[in-house]
Amino acid sequence: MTTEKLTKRLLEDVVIYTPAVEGETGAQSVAPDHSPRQLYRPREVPPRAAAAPAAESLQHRVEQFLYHQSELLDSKQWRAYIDLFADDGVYWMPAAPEQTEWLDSASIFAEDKMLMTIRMGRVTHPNAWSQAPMWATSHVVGNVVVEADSQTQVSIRSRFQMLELHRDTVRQFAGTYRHTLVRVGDDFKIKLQRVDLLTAQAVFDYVLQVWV
Amino acid sequence: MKGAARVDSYRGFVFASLSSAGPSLLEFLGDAKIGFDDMCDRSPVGEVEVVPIRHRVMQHSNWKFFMENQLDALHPSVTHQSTGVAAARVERALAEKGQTPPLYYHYLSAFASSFDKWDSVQTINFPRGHGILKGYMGLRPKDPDTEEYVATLYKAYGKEKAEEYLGRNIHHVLIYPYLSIQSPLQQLRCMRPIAPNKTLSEIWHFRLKGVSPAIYRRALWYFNLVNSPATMVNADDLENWAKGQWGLESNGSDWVSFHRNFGGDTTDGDVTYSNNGTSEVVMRNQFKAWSAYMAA
Repeated sequence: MTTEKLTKRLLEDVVIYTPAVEGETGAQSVAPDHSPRQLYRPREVPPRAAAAPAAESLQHRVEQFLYHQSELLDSKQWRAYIDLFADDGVYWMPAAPEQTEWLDSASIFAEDKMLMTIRMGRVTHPNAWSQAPMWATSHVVGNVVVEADSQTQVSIRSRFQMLELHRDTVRQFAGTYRHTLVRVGDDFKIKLQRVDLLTAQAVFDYVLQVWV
Repeated sequence: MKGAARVDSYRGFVFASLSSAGPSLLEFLGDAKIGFDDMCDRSPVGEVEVVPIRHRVMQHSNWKFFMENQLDALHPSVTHQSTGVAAARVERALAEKGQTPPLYYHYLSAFASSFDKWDSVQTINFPRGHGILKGYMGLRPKDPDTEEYVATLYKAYGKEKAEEYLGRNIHHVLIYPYLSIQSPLQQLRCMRPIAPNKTLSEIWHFRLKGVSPAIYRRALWYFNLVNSPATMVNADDLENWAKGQWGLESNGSDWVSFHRNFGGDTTDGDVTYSNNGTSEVVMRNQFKAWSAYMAA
């Protein structure tokens, strides 16, 4: 084939984007629910230990916050998990521990609330094929250290272990959480949840579908 | 470690062959070398540099699943329906509030396009199983960053040449049987077969030399959203390929048909174009190469 011919062929432009109108999409218009699995149902979350206000120590309160976060993830309460974040909050899992920002370096996750909402929409869609097999997680959070504390913000470092069951396969994940929390009354919102996965640059057997 | 019998490079990408005989690198690449040209020519100095973050994901399927998938325009709106619909919903919500959704949301929402539209995306199939799935995402918005970037390329190459480089409408270029180049966003995936039902994918991306950080960020968002181990796209491919692999390992059926649009493609010399984007000419072309390799 002559280069000129190929060049001409490649210059023929097809852009298939038109602002999507609800119901006008490809497979969605044919079979919006083609799933063999049951509809997505989040599990009930055990009540949060009475959001023990000012009387309790800061240490106790941030621990309760982290335990609650784990329960939301393990219960697949995605909306409630996203709502733990401040409006400008970010969930960030860097690809390497030395990274200090996500705009100009590669991440495994770098998601604001809009992107988190897209991810939630994906995993709760009836035709998310990868969600068909049963899967569940169990998080344990420990080694909780208050690194900094001001009138407005609290910085927390902790360790996590997560066991994931996917069909008959068990995977284990571990690493460090660094939470930057903003104070909202007696409670907190997440401004930044940084997750340094021990295995961030190791081989992933399959992928991560939701936040760790 | 045994040395490679032959080593050669093209546009800075180094290739090694363990065999002292066989086609030269340029003969092997053929027209598919445009994948490297398209990546590098988008830099005003004609070069890219590798970003030293490599993601590795194990696929529980034969390497052919990935190769066929890369040029297949039929699966996206089915496999990636959930992501396309979810991203389009958020794009709409932003638009209703009078905000402009970021360009990179479209990397996801484009998947929700109709079958007719996917049918309009052509494949070009070369000898040796190589091929191209043409582009469809419209990656040339009219914002100041893009205009500055286009001006830089005009200055470097002149208007005509720069327009040729920018106008190349490519989604993936496949170097059969192991590389997929997403040249307009500078991504490269390399397959390493581990077993008949196990394939290791290594995923890289590159920085165009001499462009602004804003242009690099477009490549970075694609790397994060589509190619990271938390991919919102590949998760569903991997699930479906694993199920396909189990199907092939069962006694359910002896044959997989790749007849879609057979006889409805256009052949010109040794190159075959699909008339319909969803033609399985891609698989037919790859198996032609594979059976030739197996018979060699």
